[in-house]
Amino acid sequence: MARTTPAPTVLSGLKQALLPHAPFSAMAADDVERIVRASQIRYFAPGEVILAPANTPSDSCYVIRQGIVRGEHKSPDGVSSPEWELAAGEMFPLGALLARRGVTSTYRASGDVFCLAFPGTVFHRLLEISPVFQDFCTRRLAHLLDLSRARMQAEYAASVTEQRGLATPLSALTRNTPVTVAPQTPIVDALKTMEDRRIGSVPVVDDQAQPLGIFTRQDVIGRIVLPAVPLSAPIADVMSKPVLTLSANATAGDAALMMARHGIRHVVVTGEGGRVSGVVSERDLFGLQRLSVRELASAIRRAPDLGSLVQAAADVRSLSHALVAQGVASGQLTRMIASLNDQLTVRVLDLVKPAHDLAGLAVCWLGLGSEGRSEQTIATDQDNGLVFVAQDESTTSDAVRERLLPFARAVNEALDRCGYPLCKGGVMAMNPRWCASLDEWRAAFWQWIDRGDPDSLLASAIFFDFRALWGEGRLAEMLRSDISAHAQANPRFLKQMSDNALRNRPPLNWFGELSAQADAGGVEGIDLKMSGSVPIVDGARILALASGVTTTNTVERLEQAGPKVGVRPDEIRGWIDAFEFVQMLRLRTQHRKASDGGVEGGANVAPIAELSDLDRRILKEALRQVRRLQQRLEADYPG
Amino acid sequence: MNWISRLLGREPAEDAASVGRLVVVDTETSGLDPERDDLLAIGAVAIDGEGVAPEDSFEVVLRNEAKRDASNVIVHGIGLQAQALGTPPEVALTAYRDYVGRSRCIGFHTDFDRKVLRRAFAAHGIDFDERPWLDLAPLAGALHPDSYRSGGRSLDDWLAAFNIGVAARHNAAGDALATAELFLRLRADAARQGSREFKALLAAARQQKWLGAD
Repeated sequence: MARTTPAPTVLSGLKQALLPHAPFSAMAADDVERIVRASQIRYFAPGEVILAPANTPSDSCYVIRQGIVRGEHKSPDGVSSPEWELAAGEMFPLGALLARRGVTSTYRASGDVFCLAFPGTVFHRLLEISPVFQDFCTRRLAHLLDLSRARMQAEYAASVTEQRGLATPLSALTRNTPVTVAPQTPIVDALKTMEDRRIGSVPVVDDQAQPLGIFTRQDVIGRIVLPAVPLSAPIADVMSKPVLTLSANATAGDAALMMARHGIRHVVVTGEGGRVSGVVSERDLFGLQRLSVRELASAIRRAPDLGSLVQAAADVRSLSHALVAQGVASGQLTRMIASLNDQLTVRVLDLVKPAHDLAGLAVCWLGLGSEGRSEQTIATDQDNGLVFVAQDESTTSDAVRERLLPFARAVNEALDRCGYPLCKGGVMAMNPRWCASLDEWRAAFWQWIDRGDPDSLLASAIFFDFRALWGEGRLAEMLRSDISAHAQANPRFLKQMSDNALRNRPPLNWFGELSAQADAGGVEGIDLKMSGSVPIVDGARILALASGVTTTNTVERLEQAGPKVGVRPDEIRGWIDAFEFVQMLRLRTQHRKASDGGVEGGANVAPIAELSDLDRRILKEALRQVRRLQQRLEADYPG
Repeated sequence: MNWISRLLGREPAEDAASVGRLVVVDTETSGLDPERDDLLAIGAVAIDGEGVAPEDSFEVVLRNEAKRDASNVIVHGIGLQAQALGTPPEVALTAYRDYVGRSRCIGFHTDFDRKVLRRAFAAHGIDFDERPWLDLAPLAGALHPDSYRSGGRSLDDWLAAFNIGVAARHNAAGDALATAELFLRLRADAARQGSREFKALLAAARQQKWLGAD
């Protein structure tokens, strides 16, 4: 007789409803069933309180089956303000359950809500037995980010298959006779073969040339050096198996897809009778696009003239686009773009300098704004300045400026030709105001700090993030240490900056939902720059100034200044994750708009309809982090 | 104050413990005639206190000899082979009786389910002490007269109106689960109008049945 209780259809129906959501999607089926069987389905009417702040530890975990649950914080004056919201598939109260404390917020049903409620004991048991569950609960935001990145990679792999270059059959990419080794080959000989033939991987084959495994350069440390495997051991002991293969008729796109799916760098190609005919590496595939960071950097450094730099700058942009599409993490990517842009700027300055007489002057070219923070996105215009000191102290600043301005103008125009448009606001070294002596710069900063009027605050967002790019770096260092001390000693200025930073509120409405604004064309979107990255950049700048941290990069500012002002490490991590996600989304948006033809005014506005469910959820979480950072500022600099 | 509020408000308070276990039941039959068609499957899920308890659920497909008519298979999805491989009716009915125990029952259009179950128990000579049944069809109409008048009267209509999803519609256990969620929703509505106690809900459903054309 079939099992009559519990009803299999009831359990599987409830399980199915959980499976589209993380972490259930990745958990063992038994563990998901454990949740379902321990649960009660509960209904909450619109407005009903599900959980209220309590001193006793939470004894149930809730998973939303249908509806929206809103979290509210009660401020000391008794006013409840909505903070965030949770949708179907989300669990709460994770923090309270993990810490075995009562909840600190009120959880309220925002419409008809059905939840699965299961006992805290089951929650804690799952933490012990299910690594997926544990990982999810302790790293909710980070987890969502990983999911998003994986999806981007998969999308990229799917899109490259459509590109012409990657329709190339693998047979065209694997020339010559393949280099292979037999399974009993000693490791030392296999490595020597790889070294002699300058190859990154070698397939291990049997006497019929059938693939048994593969060994790659990346395996050396993990499989031979660290486990201290003797070099006389057979290669079969350390090879990867089973080996993933594609037939020679498959395309480069197929190989890219396989690599993205399995996280591997090499695919073995087989020909007639399944015999190994070669290996395709990730580099072979992306070599089709002719670009690599290292090659590009060296092309820039060796560029003989402006014309070659213009080409290199175009390559920087296409490489950035390709890397965005591959889902490279934004921090890595923006730093990489910044580094290439830095080298390009340096080369431009080196090329322009010989035509100008700079004798007797100490000069330093400053990157400002996002360039100063090493956070450039793809659509970026110039923000720069010059600081100088004359060797002969009797020379007036105006006289020096006279000599430097033509040089500065030549550089600005060369950068413009390379695709970094002139700054509409005139924040460029060719502007006499921003081609100034050390004393003049110092005076300007002093005035901003002492006045703190709207213009000063606007200026502070650009100029306080300066960084030396070329020339006498000492000038920038001197300026930095003076400003740092002066700002720290002026709490009034920090308070004004804080008020200013709080003006850009994250676009979450009263219900904790994303509230999109329609642009001129009626497309609803989220301004990722103004409502996402700017508030975090501003907040990080204030924390840095307040704590005497001199670095300009936002992530580094948060990492260094956070602990000094007593922010918990997990909170800092949350802000950084939020920042990197918003930046990644900006890069993606710019990338898409550029591929659709030209980056127009709304380069930073993500149309809400183009965001996937996952991105929306992460964006909401990221904007909640922005809110938290702002709350921190409000607490530090009360009104 | 409408009649339902007065009715619900007048009931004497039951203490929470006496609410006890409720069982939401749904049956699948070979046709739409409760006097003639065969009982094919029973699904049920219990409500214990505040919520539905998936662990306390019940599902059985009854063994039926090959039938002349396979047309209804499309609706209830229980193929002829599954019917032939099902649990012997005496065993299935006894298991169901033990599962329900002394609990009160809930369904949607319960007259149908009750008749089919009664006939099946009688046909196999099994004693069955029937519990009071609450019919959600009239109760939903009583609590939401506007929706009722505008025509939404089937289980599907109510589930759609309250945005309750069904994982397995026309499967007895799947329908019982959805009906149980509908009950949670209606009970909360009733609580706002006066009382959420079973006796009060029962009275409201009965009165609506008299008043309405249902």
